[in-house]
Amino acid sequence: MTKYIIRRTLIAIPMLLAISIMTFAFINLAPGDPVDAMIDPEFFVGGAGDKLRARLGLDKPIHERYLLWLIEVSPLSSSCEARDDTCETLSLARIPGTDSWPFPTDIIPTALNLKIWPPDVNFGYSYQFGVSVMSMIGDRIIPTIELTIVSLVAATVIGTALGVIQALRQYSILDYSFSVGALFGISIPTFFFALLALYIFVAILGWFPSYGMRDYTITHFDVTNPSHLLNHMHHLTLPVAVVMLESLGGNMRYMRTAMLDVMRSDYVRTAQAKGLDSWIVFGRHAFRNALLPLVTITTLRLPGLIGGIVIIEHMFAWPGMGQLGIRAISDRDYTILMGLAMIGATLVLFSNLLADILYAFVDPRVRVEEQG
Amino acid sequence: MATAEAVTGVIDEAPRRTQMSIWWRFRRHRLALFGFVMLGILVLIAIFAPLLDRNSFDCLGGLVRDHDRGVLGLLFPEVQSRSCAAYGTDIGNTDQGPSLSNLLGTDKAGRDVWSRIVFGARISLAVGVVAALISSVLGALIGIVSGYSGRWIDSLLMRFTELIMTLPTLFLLLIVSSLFGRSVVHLMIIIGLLGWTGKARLVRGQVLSLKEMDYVTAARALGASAKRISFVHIFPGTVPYIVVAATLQVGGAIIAEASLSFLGYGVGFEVPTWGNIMNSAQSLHILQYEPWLWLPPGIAIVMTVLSVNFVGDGLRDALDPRTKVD
Repeated sequence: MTKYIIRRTLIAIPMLLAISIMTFAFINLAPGDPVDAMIDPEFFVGGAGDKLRARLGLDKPIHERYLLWLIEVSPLSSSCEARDDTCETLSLARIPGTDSWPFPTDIIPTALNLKIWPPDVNFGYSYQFGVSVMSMIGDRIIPTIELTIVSLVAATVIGTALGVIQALRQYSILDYSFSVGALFGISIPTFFFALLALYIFVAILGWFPSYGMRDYTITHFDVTNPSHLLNHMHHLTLPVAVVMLESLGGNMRYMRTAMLDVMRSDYVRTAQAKGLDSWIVFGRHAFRNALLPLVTITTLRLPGLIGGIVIIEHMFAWPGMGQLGIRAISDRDYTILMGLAMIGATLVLFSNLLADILYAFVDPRVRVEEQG
Repeated sequence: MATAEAVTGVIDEAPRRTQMSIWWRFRRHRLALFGFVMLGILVLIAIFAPLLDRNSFDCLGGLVRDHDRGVLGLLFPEVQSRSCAAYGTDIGNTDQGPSLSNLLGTDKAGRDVWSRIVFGARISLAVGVVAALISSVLGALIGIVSGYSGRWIDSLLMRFTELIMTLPTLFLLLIVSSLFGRSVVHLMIIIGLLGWTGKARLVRGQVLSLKEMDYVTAARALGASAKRISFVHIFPGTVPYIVVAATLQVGGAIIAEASLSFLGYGVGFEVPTWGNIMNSAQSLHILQYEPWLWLPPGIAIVMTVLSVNFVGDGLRDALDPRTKVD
């Protein structure tokens, strides 16, 4: 098991590298750059834009910029605060001493310090704000993870329950209407769901706030304070409901089929033939086995769910990574986008690994050593 | 000789019978039939959009741009006329509610929302179908090659597939479409290129199980080449799954296009697509006081995707011999 985990973690490194190369290429080959996004190009007279580009290191060829980025990100090199250098530069491309190529001289000794844990990851500096990307993303990781986990758990629990009910009452009116409902849920785009929710519950009924994680009157959020927590829940309800409904239908459909499959199997028939209580047959024999592949389904659904969360964070002004991402795309803030892509990919890879390990625990038939 | 003909006759009849029963099974699925009819109506609306337009005469003032020369425009050049109501601005008639002259009101540029929805059907459907086709061909090809060749080709292709699956699709779509976007054709290609992963894994799984079948072993014993076995013997077995997945993908692609356009990263703003029409509803004021700008196109999207999904479900039940419709 330990061997398997280590191997999977090692595989994740080339995968992250490949993801970083792909994303970097996509972002940097796009027409326009951060300088264009800053001010109206007409405003730049006398080559001011080009001067700014040179200052930000955007005039360098793309492979050079990528390598600079990689050196900066690599946990082996400590960030510029840790070094004695001045951190006055706007972007990673202007790390002092990196003007000469191929290898900046002052990186090598710090690289030899081999500071691996805690991972001192530094994604450079935002082009637009001049602030460390990590400090901009840092506060936003928790809100996104909160939204993801709460809606994922809600979608799984409710979807499973409804799917099982459907399977137990196959071909009934209830089953039929749930099936159509699930298809509706799958067919409605997240943003339209959000618009409907905003229109009905915010604009017309006024039951829920339309944006943010809490009221602006709460300046210092205190988790132990019940009124603060209640306020937070109040803000959380609508975004979670919208994200959840997005994957609810899929879970219901999956669970219904899985349950029906298991119910047709021989051991369930045997259990019924033995005269076991139907509650035990379906609850203990059928349900548990139908539940197994849900782990895999949920992991596969994760990237799609994150897509929904990007839209929801944007629409509900939820201060998470997705909201930052959409703004960074229009700002052409390459460093923020790279940071978000890498953190997002790491989280997805990590949850994939977690799901595989979990699977080995819940299903003793699976021996992980033989896979991958 | 006579017996041989008799034998061929029987063999020739078999597929026809299967097709009959597929149609028969599909027809019994009432929702699938409903979806099929809905899609038919939608395709007709898309083709004859200029006839349903509020005023489909060509107006003056250089409105002839080549934005909506999508697939349908290329196929049917005679119905490719410019719509004044859907494209042209009318400053004196902005933000009007539904009325007799503008069935679904007008937007902030005075364009007729009904006309824009009707013309938007062309683009949404074209994007959905073409993107699904691209990703199905890619997915099937990668799945078959990966499943049949095995060894390092398989693990390389599957690692690559997993890599693409790890990336949050919408985020990548946003980034890539800000690179190539603004054109319908580019959007089709982008959505198609990012949607093949599920199909590749599905086809690969099917190929792996079909590969172990006796008839494949028999073909191999008879000396059939790997290419022949994978495309003549194994590929037909995967077709039903590809067809179902491709149908469902059409809905996914329509949603992807609409989401991108809604966020402002899809096709150029002046082009009427359902997502573009809804784009203005990002402001809470329009959301609340001008619902005709976002509700009708949203319903159009939902009805289209729902119909596609009904058809996909019906096809799944009809094509998959394991699920019994009775």
